[in-house]
Amino acid sequence: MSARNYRAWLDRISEWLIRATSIVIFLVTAGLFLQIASTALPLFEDPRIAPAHEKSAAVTPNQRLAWLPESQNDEYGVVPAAKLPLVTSDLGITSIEDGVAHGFLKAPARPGEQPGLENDAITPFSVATSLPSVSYASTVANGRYLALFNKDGFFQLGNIHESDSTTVFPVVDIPQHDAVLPTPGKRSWLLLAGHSIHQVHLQASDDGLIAAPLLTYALDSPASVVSSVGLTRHFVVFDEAGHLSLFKLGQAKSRAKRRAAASDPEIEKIEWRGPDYVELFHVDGGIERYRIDNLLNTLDVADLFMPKRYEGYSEPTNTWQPKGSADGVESKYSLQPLLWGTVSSALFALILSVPVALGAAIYVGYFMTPAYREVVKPVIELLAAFPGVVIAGLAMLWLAPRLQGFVAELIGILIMIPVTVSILAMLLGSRVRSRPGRYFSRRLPLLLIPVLCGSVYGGVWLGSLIDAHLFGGSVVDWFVANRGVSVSYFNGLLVGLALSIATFPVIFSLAEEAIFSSPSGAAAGSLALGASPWRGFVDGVLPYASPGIVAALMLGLSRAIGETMILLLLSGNMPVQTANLLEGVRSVGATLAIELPEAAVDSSHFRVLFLAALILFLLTFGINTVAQIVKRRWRRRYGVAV
Amino acid sequence: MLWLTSSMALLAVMLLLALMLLLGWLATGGGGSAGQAAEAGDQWASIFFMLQNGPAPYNDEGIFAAIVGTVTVTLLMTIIVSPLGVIVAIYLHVYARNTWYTELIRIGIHNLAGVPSIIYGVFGLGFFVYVIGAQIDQWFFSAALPRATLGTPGLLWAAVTLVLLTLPTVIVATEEGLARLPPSLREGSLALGATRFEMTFGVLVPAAMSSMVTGIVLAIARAAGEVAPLMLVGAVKYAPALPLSSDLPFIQVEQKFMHLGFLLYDLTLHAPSGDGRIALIASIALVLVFVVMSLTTFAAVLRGRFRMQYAQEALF
Repeated sequence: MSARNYRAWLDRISEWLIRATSIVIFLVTAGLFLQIASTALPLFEDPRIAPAHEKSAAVTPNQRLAWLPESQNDEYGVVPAAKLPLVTSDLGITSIEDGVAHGFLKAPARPGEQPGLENDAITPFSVATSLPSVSYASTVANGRYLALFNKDGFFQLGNIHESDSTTVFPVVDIPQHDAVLPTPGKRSWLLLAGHSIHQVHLQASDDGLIAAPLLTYALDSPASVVSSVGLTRHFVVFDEAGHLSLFKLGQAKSRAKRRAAASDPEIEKIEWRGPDYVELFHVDGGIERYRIDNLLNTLDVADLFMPKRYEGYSEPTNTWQPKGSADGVESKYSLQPLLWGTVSSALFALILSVPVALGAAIYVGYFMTPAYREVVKPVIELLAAFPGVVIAGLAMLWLAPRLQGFVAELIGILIMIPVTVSILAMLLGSRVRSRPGRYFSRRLPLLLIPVLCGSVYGGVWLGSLIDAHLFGGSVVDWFVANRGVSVSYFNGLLVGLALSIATFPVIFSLAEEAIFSSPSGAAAGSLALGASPWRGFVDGVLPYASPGIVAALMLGLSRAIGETMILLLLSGNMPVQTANLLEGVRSVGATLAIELPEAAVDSSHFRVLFLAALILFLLTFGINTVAQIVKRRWRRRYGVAV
Repeated sequence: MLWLTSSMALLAVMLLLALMLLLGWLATGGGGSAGQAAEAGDQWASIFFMLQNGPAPYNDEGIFAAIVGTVTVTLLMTIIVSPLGVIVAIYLHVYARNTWYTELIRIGIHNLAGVPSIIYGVFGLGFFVYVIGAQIDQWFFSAALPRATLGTPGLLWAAVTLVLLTLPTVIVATEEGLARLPPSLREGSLALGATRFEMTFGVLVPAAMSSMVTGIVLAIARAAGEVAPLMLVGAVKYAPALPLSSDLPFIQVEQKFMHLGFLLYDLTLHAPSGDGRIALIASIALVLVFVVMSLTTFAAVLRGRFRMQYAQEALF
């Protein structure tokens, strides 16, 4: 093969290899994006009710009516309305006399077991109550209280704990209703009232626990038969128009709807057979079966982003708490605290690190002699060798205990350094400028070492001065006492400081490369025409280096957003949304690292985590797109290859 | 401004020194971090003792295995990511036309840098280990099935996952370096009759070498410290054997390995508090920092040797 053919062959082969390799890489990165999206997006599919033709193999535990030792007048005791399914009840009330209700607490009968007085698991109780009659009663989650309902619209708590059984709680107004359904977790109840279904829950207030309305479920036509609330926190309503509606506790609108085969008077009860399977029992003995697809792993957009009033809370909040502290606690999936934590800590870290990184990059890349630069640049880049884990560990073990007492001093240092240096520069600058080349790059850092040390010391002194005179000892304590600000050990300030150490080397390296390798013609020209060195930089170097600096900033921002370890170890695990620097933050990355290994694969928790990552991905995609457009425009303007 | 920027650079250097000193001080028991263990003459918080197979957090093996694991996985990752990142950057800069979908791909790759690192672990596990690894097992190691050879987390997949993590850094740095080169370099070499291959690898790459190596240095630094993805794809608290061996192939890529960063994470989060805990963590951190510094300094020295012959002279 002649040399010319060989070279042409080499060119073709290399081009083919390069294209092929690049395409493989692009496909793999697209695969990453697709995996995130395909795991997250099914979250928004709606459930569907579909007729099922095979019998469900699941067996629900036998649900029995609560029995009463002596069946009394209908007004007392737990008697469901005629069309309700059997309710597993664990108590019965036998009488109410002189403001005291007497009854029996019973463990739920196991399948196959006959209820009877012989059963050991029955304990009598008496609670003080001022209700004239009780139409429904239920134990409450914490086991100490009893919830007593009266159909005409009254609710009262009773204390069944022996020592306090004489406490009388206030009577609370609730909507009038025909029947009551319990919910898993025993913290809220559904009041069935024909046209609407209300949910009331127990919330803490100044008077102790009270029942408060939580939510009203929207029904198109009055409910005729209602299923129980399954463990999946869903219930099914058959209304007078013949439609089946699926509701989830916590969402006022129904999630799925279907026309049932039978019409109104024919349905007797609805029962769950397994988590996603319902059976409608006809009065004449027939059974309609339905399977519900996509029941479990779907969420509403509102659940994820809007403030929501959860069971037990007095106000709508944005909370992230996928697994409650006890059984049956509602899972809370608001993404706002996580996204806010990520973005705010990234921005704060950038605020701290960008001035230092860019300043250092300008000095090393422009002002400094290349001979010195060969040494100094690798030394500064050694900061990149501190992995996130190490920075986090150091911050956690050494900085965290000392930070709260040091806040004012820190601010003092942040003020003193630029102020001192600027003042000195103004005073001595002219002397330096008249002797370029000699003092310029070589001696200046040496001169600045004592200046910097002095200004750090001065900043500490200034901070303690501020502490003592303006805030009576400590800034933090003053804020806590006077402004009600809460402070935590692992706070946003700590995270910001640590994260800025992690982002600094990224921004510095790339910005310095950009500044150093920009063409020197324009800078040399402006210097020759008498401009000061800084003007020479701004006019001659900055236009060419700007795209590179933007790239550096983008990479630094990406690093701050994606950094997991620092936020994991320093975040204090408090997913609250606040601008207060002294409270904890929790970021998407840290949440993923903690919860992803434990979440059941393809559960809604799992999917929501991936959704958070997807949102971050799209957010940075937007920012990077803007940055790329800006870079292209600058490059085109200054004639360097795009 | 000269003074301000100079003080920023100085601040960075001082910060570096301060961090190193702090680590060293904590590691050797300063400030009571070694607790009563040091006073009792127990040397297990001493960093030098730990470098041998001294007593360690969970067993008697010391952290030598973790050092080997860290260096091995980082080197393996560097060997893979350097050519890959450079090739992709060259494709984007030289061969790809400037259409909107090329821009989209470029932005997409830049975007990868912002994904929380545990997602890479999940993707690495789900795709590389359970799809590609299982497939390779079926093709090449079917005799050993059902015991997975490459279909299970190990050194190779950990390195590949880290490659995916650091690829954007290398690509961005290299692309920026290539973009800064004056068009006259490109056009001149083509005008003199070079093929695109010769132009790229004979002219452009040597000229942009400084930026390329900067990207690789940043990639090494990032990867050596990333723990979250490794948790899922191959790092373990205790590996019975080193991933290196004395006969072919010298690296056992299917083995699980220990990693200093993982050890640190585990200790900081899960270890029972007690004597010398801070000193222990600081010692391991110091070792990790030294390892990363050696790797990055090695790369930086290489960069210094490719001094720019084509870029402009400095002004001062």
